[in-house]
Amino acid sequence: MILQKMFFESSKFLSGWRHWRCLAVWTASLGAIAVALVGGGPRTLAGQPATRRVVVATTTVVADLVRQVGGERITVDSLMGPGIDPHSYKATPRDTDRLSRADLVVASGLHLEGKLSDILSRLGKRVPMVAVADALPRESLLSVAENLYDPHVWFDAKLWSQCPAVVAQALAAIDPAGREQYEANANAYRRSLELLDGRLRDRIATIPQQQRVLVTAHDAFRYFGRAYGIEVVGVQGTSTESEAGLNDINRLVELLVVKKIPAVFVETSVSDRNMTALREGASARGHSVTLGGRLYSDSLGGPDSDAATLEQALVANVETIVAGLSGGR
Amino acid sequence: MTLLSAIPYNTLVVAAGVAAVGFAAGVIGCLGVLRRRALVGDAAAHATLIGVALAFLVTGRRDLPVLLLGGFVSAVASLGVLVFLRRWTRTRDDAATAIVLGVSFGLGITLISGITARGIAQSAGLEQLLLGHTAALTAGDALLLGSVSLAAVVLLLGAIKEATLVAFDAPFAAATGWPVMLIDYALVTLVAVMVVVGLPAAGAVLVTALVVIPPVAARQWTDRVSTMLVLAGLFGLVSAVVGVAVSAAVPRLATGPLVVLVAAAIFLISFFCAPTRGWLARAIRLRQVQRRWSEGRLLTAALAREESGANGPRMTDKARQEAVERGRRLRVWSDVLEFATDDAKSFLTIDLPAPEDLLEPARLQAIGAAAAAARSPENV
Amino acid sequence: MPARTQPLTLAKPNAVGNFPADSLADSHVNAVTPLLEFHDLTVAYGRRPVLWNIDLSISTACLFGIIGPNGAGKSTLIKAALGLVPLAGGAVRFFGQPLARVRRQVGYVPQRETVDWDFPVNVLDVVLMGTYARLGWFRRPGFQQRQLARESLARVGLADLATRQIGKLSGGQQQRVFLARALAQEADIYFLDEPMAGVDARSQEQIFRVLSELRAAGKLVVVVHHDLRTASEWFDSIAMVDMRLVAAGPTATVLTPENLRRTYAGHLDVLDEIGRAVEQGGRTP
Repeated sequence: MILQKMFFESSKFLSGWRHWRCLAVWTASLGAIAVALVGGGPRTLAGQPATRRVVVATTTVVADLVRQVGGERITVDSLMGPGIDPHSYKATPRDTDRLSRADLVVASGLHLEGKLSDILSRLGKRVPMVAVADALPRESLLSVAENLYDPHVWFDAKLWSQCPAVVAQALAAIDPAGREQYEANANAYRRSLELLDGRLRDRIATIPQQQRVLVTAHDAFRYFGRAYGIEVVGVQGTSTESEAGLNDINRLVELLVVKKIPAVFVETSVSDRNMTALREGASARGHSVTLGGRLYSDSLGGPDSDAATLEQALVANVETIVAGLSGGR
Repeated sequence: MTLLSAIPYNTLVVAAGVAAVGFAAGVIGCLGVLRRRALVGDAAAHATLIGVALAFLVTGRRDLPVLLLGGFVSAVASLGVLVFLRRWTRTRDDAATAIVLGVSFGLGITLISGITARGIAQSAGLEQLLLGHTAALTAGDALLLGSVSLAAVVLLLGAIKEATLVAFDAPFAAATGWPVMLIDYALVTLVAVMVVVGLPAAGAVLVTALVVIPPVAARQWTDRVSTMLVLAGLFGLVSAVVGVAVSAAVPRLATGPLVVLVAAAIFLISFFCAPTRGWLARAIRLRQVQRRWSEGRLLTAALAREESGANGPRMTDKARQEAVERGRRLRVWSDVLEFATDDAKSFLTIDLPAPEDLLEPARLQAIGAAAAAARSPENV
Repeated sequence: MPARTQPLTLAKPNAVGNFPADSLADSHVNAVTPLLEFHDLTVAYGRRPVLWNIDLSISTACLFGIIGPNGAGKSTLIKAALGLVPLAGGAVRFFGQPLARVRRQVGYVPQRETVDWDFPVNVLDVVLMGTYARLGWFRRPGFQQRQLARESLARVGLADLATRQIGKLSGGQQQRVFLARALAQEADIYFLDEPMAGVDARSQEQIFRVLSELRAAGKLVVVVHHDLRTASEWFDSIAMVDMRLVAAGPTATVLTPENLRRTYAGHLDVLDEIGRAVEQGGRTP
């Protein structure tokens, strides 16, 4: 409205070409505003040779996997940053843009990225896409409900070690020239994970049997528990979208007190409100529970943290758990 | 004290906090509902998110008092915008409320998801204020909720006559010198306080329910403001305690929504079962009225048939008396209707009372005379 | 020239109605301050004027009627006096003072539609509200106030309905409750906005009786009235208003066919009948 008015007003004052110049200036500025709002052109990372494939991973965990397998031949972009909860993450238009321009999209799968399923399934028709956990054999998965599985498979290093091969295959499909290298990387990584698997089990075994209970904010560690012999209890369910009920809190306090569990653990991507309530409840019954530390659950740490890769995160987690739980009576 | 010690600590803490909020929300909500501004609570609730997000951004802290303070500021600001829209533009009440509600909620969600998407440390869980985290209330939280609730109730009760006056007849209040806008704004601010305080208890989406449902339920039971206040507070309290109790007994049930469901159940029961205003009571009364009227007409018809000499069962003496009396009353009332319609409008009721009980003898005589004159031969 | 009370010759106030201080003191024509005075009153809703340059002065306690056709601005006149609508120009003075200083002496009976009759209050509660202004902030009505409320109720004949919820009253009874509330204000000037509208004849008589008592006690009672027939019976003086003041003064003098025509132009049917009756001898049927 205002612009129209000004345009017509100006036509009274300015003759001939000046009038059109004014119009041109207006159109250009509007166009510039529009372009700025929509947000620039395709993102190109500085200094990359054009031949590198761009792979977009959904979570930091998956991004790490792709990096391990892809090596120098690809550029990995992670949709979600460190500390972000993938259960509730909603895609922005920029995310959709990045996803659609990728050479390959790698997701975790099994509905971990709960709010992205629509976008991913639509894009999956246009962009090469693979969900690593979906490729795992169903018998080795923990089920939550009919046809619904717990997606936190990366906490079982042995199980996760079946995923590098899936990524290698997907990368080879978009970059056949690198097939050999991808397969070699995948094998190396698989062996590394298998080794780590054994070490983690040994570490966990050092915790006294009675106190070997891992209490966390949500049920992210069931594979961890199954693989390494520790009982796991989450306050919220398998997804952080559910709200904890009072009954669940009470039962957990009971568990903490009866089993004299010395510590509970918070997660980097989940609120620690529930943990505080648990500790207060236990302390009211005379059993003091410490905050054992912050675990990496649905996300790795940042590049400068002690958990930039999955292997580092697993080690960090185990050390935190051992420290927290061993220090009890 | 053994009963108390048998209840888990967390249950006690949560029950205390939510009960305080439920009680205060019920009491303060009464004035909002009476002032026909119930939806304002909803707008305030949705606007709290902006303040919560901003408070977190600015201070970097996630303690409840800080977040709630931010929420309160943005809620009050949004109400200011609402007042502005109403007074200075031509937007109507419901449209203005919807605009403020939608825009502020959208802004709030954008801010919060922006914060969580950037993975700013400790930001996870801001969104929980949308749905409440009742079960995870700590003793500190409960204390905060309790003290704010108490303060709000005390404030309201201190100025209850001013609040009631403005809610009932604002033009009269203005004419007699009360600052109506100020009182209105204070009332609405109190509602905003309760809404903000209710955020941890029931979440932004449901907190309006706590402020609206108990007062509306209470209204069904009473015709006095003071009783309504007490009942609304009671209903809020009971909803809280029962909701918490059920959530403590049944696994995997979120506590906040349960409290609201219990409040809704109380409302439904009130709606149906309240004496006088309840649906059931009204239905029964209507049936009674209809039945008495039919009985009356039956009596009249029976009398007429007897007098015309037809065969059939005889009326009892009592029935005949009643029928005769009914006929007399009908005649007198139709005269009153004809010649003193205003009196009929003031006094006649469906259960056909005796005219002598309600009208003065002189008046009845005058009406009778007028009727006789109208019926006399020269006027036919 | 229609009969008109002489307004006091005061200096013109500025647009917001503040009288320059000196002029008030200098220009009294006589020693008596008018009880109520409208000076150059103009009221507009948005840009549309509803009242235009009303000059009116009432110096003696009486039953004063304001009559005129629908939409004439009669209600607006008293709402303007009470500060409920903003003035575009001019001023209103009570005993020579602006309203803010003498609020306690002004009572108000608004139209019945302004209220939600489903509100959970009973008759006594409503009448008590008349005492609130004198009580002030945060004080509760006590025994004295209740006593006053009961007396006011008795004066309007509603003493035995004190505990009834207001929605359960007839139109006339509701109006009398409002009147009782105004009585409880113990004011010196009373404004009533169409108190007889939709009220049964019995209640109307009762209301009128109370108003006469007030007049006898030396109060000024200003009534916006809709019914011409009763206007000539009840009011000592009237003002005939149709956006402007057509005429004002003692009823008998002012209620002439000429003035009726000027006020009710366009409401011809009412007019003819009234006019003829007035011509025939002063009393309307």
